[in-house]
Amino acid sequence: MKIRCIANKGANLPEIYLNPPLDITTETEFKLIVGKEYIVYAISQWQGNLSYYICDERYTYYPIHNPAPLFEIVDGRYSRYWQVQLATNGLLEIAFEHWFSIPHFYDKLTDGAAESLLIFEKIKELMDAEAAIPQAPPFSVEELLAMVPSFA
Amino acid sequence: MLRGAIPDDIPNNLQEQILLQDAKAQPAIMIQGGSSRPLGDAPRLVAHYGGQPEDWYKMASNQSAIIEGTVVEIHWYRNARTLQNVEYKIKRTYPKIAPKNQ
Repeated sequence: MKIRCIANKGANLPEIYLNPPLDITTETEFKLIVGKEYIVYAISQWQGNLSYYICDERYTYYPIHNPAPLFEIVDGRYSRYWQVQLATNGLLEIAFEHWFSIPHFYDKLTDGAAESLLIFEKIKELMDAEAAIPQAPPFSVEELLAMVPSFA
Repeated sequence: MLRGAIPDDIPNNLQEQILLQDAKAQPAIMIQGGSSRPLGDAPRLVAHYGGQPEDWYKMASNQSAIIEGTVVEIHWYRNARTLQNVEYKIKRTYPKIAPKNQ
């Protein structure tokens, strides 16, 4: 999945995304370049707040969440490496398998734990390669209807 | 058994010192925490600094630097209710692959 940045300021965000105690205000300048495309490594949704985990302009070794309203989707394909999980507290996440299977994976990754770091580096390589494959044009209605059903 | 409070890291050089000062003075970036994905360290932070587990967030400095081949940034914990900032850490990581953007 690829997204394109369409704005990089807190002033462009709906109020639900602002959180002054965590330094997300109308004055916030996100580390994004307007017009640039970013590969999405994970998605989270919490209480109406949708975020994309990307390697933004501050990227060091872990992807970080950025508010969805700052982007438009340019390639909506679902990654083959993704799984979806709905936690009991209502947190909806789409991410690669290790994000869920290794306890506190993102906590460990952001702490710089060696194993988590290596896992993300490998997953990033795979997802970057996957995103580079051109998107095949969808079948038209005529093409779909012209297909012989496999059960015929 | 919970670990105790962790003192702030000490900068190794002038660049790290500047990075640390900037982190304390500038707006930060929230990494994770709160009630959506509570921190693994939340029980320890509550035990030593108070509040509720969902009050605590892991924060990162707005700036990072590459110092002698090491990616350096500042991490710490913030209580979003009281705005208390504690346990500044100088994160020095050595990615196998050089950081790059796509």
